[in-house]
Amino acid sequence: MQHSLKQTSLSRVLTYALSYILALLWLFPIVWMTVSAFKPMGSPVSILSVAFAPPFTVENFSIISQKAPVYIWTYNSAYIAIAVTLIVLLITSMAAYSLSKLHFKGKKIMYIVITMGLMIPIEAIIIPLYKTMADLRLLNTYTGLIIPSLTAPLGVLIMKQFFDDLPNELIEAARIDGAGIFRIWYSICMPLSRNSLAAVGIFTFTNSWNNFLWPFLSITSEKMMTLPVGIPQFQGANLSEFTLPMTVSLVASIPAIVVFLIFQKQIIQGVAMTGIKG
Amino acid sequence: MGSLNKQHDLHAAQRKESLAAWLFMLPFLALYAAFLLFPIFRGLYTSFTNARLVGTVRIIGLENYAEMLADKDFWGSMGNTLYFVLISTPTIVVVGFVLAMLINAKLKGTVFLRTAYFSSYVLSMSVVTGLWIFIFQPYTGLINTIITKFGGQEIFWLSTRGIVWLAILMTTVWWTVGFDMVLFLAALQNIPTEMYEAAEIDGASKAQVLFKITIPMLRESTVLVVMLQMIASFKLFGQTYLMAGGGPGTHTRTIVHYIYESGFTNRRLGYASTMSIAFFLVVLGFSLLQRKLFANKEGR
Amino acid sequence: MTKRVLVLALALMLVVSATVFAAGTQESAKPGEKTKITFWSPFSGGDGDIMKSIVADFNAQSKTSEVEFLIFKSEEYYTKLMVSVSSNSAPDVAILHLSRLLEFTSDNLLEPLNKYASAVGMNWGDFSGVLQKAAQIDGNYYAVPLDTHLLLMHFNTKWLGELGMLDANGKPAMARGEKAFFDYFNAVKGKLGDNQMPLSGTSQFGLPQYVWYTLLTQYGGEIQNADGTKATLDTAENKKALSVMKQMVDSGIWPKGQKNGAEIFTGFRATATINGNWGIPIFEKVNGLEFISMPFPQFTNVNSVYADSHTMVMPTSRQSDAKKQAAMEFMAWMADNTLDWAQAGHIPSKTKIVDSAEFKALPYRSEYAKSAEYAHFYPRSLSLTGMIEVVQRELATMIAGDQDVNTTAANMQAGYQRLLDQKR
Repeated sequence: MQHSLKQTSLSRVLTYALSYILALLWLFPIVWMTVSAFKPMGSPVSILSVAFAPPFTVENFSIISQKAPVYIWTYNSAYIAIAVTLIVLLITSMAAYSLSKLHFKGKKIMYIVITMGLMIPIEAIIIPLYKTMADLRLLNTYTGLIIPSLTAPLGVLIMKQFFDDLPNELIEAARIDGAGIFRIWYSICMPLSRNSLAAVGIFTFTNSWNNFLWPFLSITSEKMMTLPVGIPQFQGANLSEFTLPMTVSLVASIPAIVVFLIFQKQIIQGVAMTGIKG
Repeated sequence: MGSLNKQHDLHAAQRKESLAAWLFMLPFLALYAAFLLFPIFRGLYTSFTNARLVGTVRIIGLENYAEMLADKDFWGSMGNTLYFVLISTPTIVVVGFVLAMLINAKLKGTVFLRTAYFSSYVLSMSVVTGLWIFIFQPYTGLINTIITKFGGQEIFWLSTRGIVWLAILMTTVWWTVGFDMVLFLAALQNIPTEMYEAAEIDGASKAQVLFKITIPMLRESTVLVVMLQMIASFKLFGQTYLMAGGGPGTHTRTIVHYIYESGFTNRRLGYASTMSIAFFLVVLGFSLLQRKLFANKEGR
Repeated sequence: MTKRVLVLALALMLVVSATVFAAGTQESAKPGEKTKITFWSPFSGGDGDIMKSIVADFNAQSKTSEVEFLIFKSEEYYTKLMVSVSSNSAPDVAILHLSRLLEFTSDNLLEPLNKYASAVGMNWGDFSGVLQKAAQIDGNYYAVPLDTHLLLMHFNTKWLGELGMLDANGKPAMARGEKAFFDYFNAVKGKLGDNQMPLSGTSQFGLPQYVWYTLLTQYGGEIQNADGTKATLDTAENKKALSVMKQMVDSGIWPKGQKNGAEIFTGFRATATINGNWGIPIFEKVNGLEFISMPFPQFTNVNSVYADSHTMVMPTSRQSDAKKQAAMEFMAWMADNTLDWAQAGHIPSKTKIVDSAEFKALPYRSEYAKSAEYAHFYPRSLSLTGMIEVVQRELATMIAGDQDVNTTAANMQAGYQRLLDQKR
């Protein structure tokens, strides 16, 4: 018995060591990026004893805005991600409600058609999508950046799963009370599905925030660029040193990191929800 | 009379509901049809033409398809993509599982650990690749500075065959594993504690608990994680394009990269569309195959 | 709950208004307002900052036009430019390397400039003969040249002086010829410590390609036959050029795997660097770096160096004539004000500016301006973009040590020939 206790505590120590070492490894690049952003321009930050020792400065943050419209890119990214998220929440919850709780002809086919969409990577339709957007004169517009993110079927399917689990009695009761179809959707189903909405919203937001290929192809105006497209441009134009690109990266990451730290619990619950429901 | 009336009402109600249902579907469906379904058919059409970015379009039948089947660059980039799917999927799934186990071990500071493992997931791809270029860059990059300081040789992480894949894999694991980890974590926390208690009473060893309870209970999550991860890996483009430019040579040129290059750099939209169709079919095939395999195992 | 609906409605409105806004800003200068001209470029070195300030000067003095200036990553620039023309989102003015002119005009991507140019009274005879000739195709002018730029070698004079590798004039003591080159740098290498290299230079993308074309032409080769139908890359000349490059890498003179050669030079880790004249403004800014910019070494008796010219072109568009005329005015102004552009190390396109005392007073230029006399441009080709892509990739593979000289030459030949054949 004593022997086994010893063994347990040894394995416990090892588990502690492993998990904390991994955590430090995982955090290290982010910490390095943060520290480098505060080093005077041109510092050889690859030498860690240089990177982590003074002097520090905040100059870089104003230098980068003279070199590239980094703050406009941040605004664009945020604007697009927020717009995409709100619209996706609205249209997917409506479609999901219809698929889950309403009866109509062709429902089954609709469901199959939408499920099939899961298997279409946007990368495979990027060329016709480009032509379509060009025909509609939507390249280089916010609308053109927002629309392709609205067609992802995953949101509909997650919301449908959730609505399926809502007891029909609840809806029947509301109907007897005289509530219409729309009212049932927005005053019963929507409030109850707050967590699913959060899950879908968070995914949509991060996907949009990180979206690379489509904006990379379709934006040709510096003022319309999002961060994922603008940052490599900036790095391409400022190759000869580390600190400025690090500063741009940090600025680009702060909103996402802050959102993550504030909504950490919801985000992780949200991710987990797709796991259970998906 | 009364019942007829009632039936009439019922029909009217059904019609109304049906109309409402379609109205609710409409916004999503319209976008879905216009910007997902329509491009697929348009791409299919383009794949039978000689379309370039500019100029007149002529239907050339299956010429593009014949060219594709004989194009060793196509097979090469398809091979690179499959290679990455094969190396990345197990790695990320296993690392994600291990991290989830560590968090679930009820250590002190669980929230810190979880935050640490997950936070890289919220970073944008460009930030991630930019950061890791600085880490892997020879002569002045972080790792090589450390290696050479201790008397080691320069390692050309991003321009040596094989090693470049290791670098891309490390970057991708670091960036995305948090997502898989959380999926596993949720599933782990759903395993009823009674099962573990029962196992303890039966005197099961740790390995037995792991292999007889934990892993079987995670089957469904694993299916999901593997599936999502595979599709994500098929789409690889940003990391290889931004970090290695598809190189050395064409060693890390993925299929999405080659489609981009053919369609936009060389302006051959028709040919690029043909490869897009092939890419789509491969992803679709893999997803269906995987569904089938796992469905069988579960005895459904 | 109504609050949520409100928020959603608001969001929708926001998007709609953004669309309208974006559509509304798409052009149309009202009377009294300045004409907006968009101007794209691939400048990524110090020349980007310099061009920015020249454009700012233009904007400050122009009463009628305002130029919006954009820099793209050079690897993606031409793809972006072609795509934008084909989707009607092209800039009004764009930088184009003269070597790519035919490729753009053959797809009707550029406006002929004759009409607009004569309206602003442009005298094409002001440009140096080579550029003037190269800027026209079938009697139409398509491009306004800004400069000639070429590949150079830059030496850290303080360091090399300490190593005793300079001659009495303070210049690198290197004679002409292949052997002299290797002797010189092997001697330098012998005097260096760990983590130091004789010669830096980025191991991928454009730079190896510039070195390659310089050597190829010095050894008497060319990329294609006279009428541009057959690639000539699987030749003894190309193999010679490639093997010299490979020897530079393998001997440790120009170590492989460099992500950014300029950074290694400015970080005092290389005694010399291969870079174009466009590297000069970066090097000038580095504290404590004493350097000299020299013509790229000549390996044979044939004088040659890779060169190209930045020109300004007008992509095809449905813009009004008035707008195109405004764009032409901007281009003409730029061509007259290339002295500032010479700060970036480039050699101005107009002979009278090259001959001016102000240009001659700039440092380093006198050292290399004469090598412009034997500057070698790529021949005209319908598939230059694709050729460059193939060559860059094959060179990067060879430099990384993954491919021998013969395979590299054979792959270049096959890749370029395939592109030439597709065009027909």
